[in-house]
Amino acid sequence: MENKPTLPAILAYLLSIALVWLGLYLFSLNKINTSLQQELEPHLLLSFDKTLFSDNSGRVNDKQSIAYIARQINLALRQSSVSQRYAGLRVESVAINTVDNMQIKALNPGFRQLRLEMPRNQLSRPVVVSYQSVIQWPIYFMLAGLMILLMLFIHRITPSPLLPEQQRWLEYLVRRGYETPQAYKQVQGFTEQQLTLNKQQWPVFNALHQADNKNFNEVMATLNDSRMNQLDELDLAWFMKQLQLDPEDIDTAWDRATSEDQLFLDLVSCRVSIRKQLIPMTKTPLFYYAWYAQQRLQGKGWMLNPQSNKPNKEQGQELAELMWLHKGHARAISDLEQSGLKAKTLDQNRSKIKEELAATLGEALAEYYLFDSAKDPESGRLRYRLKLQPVQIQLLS
Amino acid sequence: MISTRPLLYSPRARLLLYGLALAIGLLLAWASAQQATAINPLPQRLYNSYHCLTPDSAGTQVRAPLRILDFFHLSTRPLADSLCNNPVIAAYYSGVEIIWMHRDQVDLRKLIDQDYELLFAKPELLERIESTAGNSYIPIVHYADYTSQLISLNSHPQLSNEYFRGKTLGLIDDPNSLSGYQIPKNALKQHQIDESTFEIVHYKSHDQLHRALLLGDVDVIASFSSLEHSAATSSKRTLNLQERLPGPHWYVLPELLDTAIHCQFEKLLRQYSRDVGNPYIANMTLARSCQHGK
Repeated sequence: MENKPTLPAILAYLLSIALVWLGLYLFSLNKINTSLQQELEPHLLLSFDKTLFSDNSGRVNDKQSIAYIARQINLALRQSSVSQRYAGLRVESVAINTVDNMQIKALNPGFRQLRLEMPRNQLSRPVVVSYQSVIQWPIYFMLAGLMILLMLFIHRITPSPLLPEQQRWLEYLVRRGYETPQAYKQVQGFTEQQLTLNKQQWPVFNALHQADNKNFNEVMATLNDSRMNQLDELDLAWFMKQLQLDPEDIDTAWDRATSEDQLFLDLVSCRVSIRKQLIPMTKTPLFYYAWYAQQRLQGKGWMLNPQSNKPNKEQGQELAELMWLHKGHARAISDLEQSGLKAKTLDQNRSKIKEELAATLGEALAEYYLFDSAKDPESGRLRYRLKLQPVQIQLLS
Repeated sequence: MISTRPLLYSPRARLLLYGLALAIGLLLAWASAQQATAINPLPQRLYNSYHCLTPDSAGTQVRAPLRILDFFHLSTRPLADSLCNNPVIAAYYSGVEIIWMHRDQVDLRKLIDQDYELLFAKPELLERIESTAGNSYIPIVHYADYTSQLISLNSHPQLSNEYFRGKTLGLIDDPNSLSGYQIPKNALKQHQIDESTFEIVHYKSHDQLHRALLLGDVDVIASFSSLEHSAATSSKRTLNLQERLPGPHWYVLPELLDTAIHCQFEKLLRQYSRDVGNPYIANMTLARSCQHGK
């Protein structure tokens, strides 16, 4: 939880204090006015006899008597208002100013006025009462202090509001069995930007996140690793593949993903590795793979498939020699020497290469390391070459 | 049991709690406002009265106050104070209370029951009570007779329809008043003056009638020469309606007649009449001198 209130929170505190102050002021005013009205109106009715006021028979107000009585009431009002120390407003100097528009006492500027009504002889006689209301600032500041303490307490005990993305992740994790405080703590550690996954990152998240292990933090840290931005589609595919092979070994996954895209054909040991990932491959497909690699290293690399009814003696001899040098299968060598390289054999071995690459890398990833094909414009037959660039191929023979 | 922890992690949890804190703050503000300020009930009393205590009013003996009823709203506070400070009065009364009221406000039962020790009133009211209820107050001081008049500033009053047409006549709002109501109304009736051709406005006191005339609120009034504004009203034009109307009297309870209290009344009334600064009141005549101790 954040330790200090933010600026919007502080503004909210100030607004709350202002509202409470306004409330205290208005409530106090209302109470004063109500009390004055409740106390004075009956008193005025009892004190001012109806014979003192004009009526429809031509009598005019007995100004002398009305003024005298009003002044006597003003004397009594001097001690009538009681304001406690904790009052928001202290009331002073309550007095009647006019009775039926007849001035009794001049109105002091700054005094509040209250208009009362006194029905007399079928007319409502206005009586204006004024008073001075003095704000007792210590009470206001005490109330403000109390509000601040209350707000700070709430700030302390409640978690900071989450951003929308954080809130979504919180709900996601809770649905998957995380305890709410734990989930809160985990999502709060990331910004919205960090939590917003693109379509490239989602598969990685799904592959890495294990709700049982509550490893959201680690997964998001991985997804927000600066190296992740530098991975292209192929790198990411390697990353995911490695995690599939060993979900616990993130380091190796990074290593695969960030390694150079290199096909290493070791004919001495009869091994194939791509980005240091050993690809189990039987010898014969391995040699055919190496043969294509050789062609790629030497030039354009396009190898025209032999005619289906006319094996290529020369290519067959090349392959046989390659196999023989590296202890390939005798029968395969013999076939090549005697019959030459057949289109069908070539096709079969390319399929075998694909099959064995896909067995380790998966079909999608294996595709990067297989063959391009094109139709030869002269013969109309298909030709093949490795997709990799020559610099990406290392051949040890 | 529902766990509150997931709720705290919801997007609006903190906002809701802030809202709750605001509600608590407003509730505290409201509670403070309700409890903190009060307007004490004003004791209901007669505002048209004055009360003072005699020095020994806290003594062991329970005594009633001396009650004075004044129908003329004179400045009788100094009289009350001098009565309060008088040792003879203090020996019998806990204090002095003066009540002022117009005649039409009085509860006649209080006069019939003799609730007041001293009255300042016109004789016609007391004579009426005596004629029906019998034993009444005794006059001890009276003031000069006066004349009932129609008074105007701008024209000589006449008892004619032509004069009154379109004018405003000020009367006293008290059918008991001789000069302010009964006599002028009777004069208008006798001279068959049509009251629908002019306006009548009623005032509560002669003082207010004269003030209304000076301010131009009315054209003509029915009153007598002003008690306090004689210097300011030298330009008034008058028509006498009836002369030798008896002036106001001070009355005392029969049982106080010729007692030490009566003598003190007499002494203090003399002093009051001298000090009040009103030439009409200063011209006081004893109706019945105190015989106590003589």
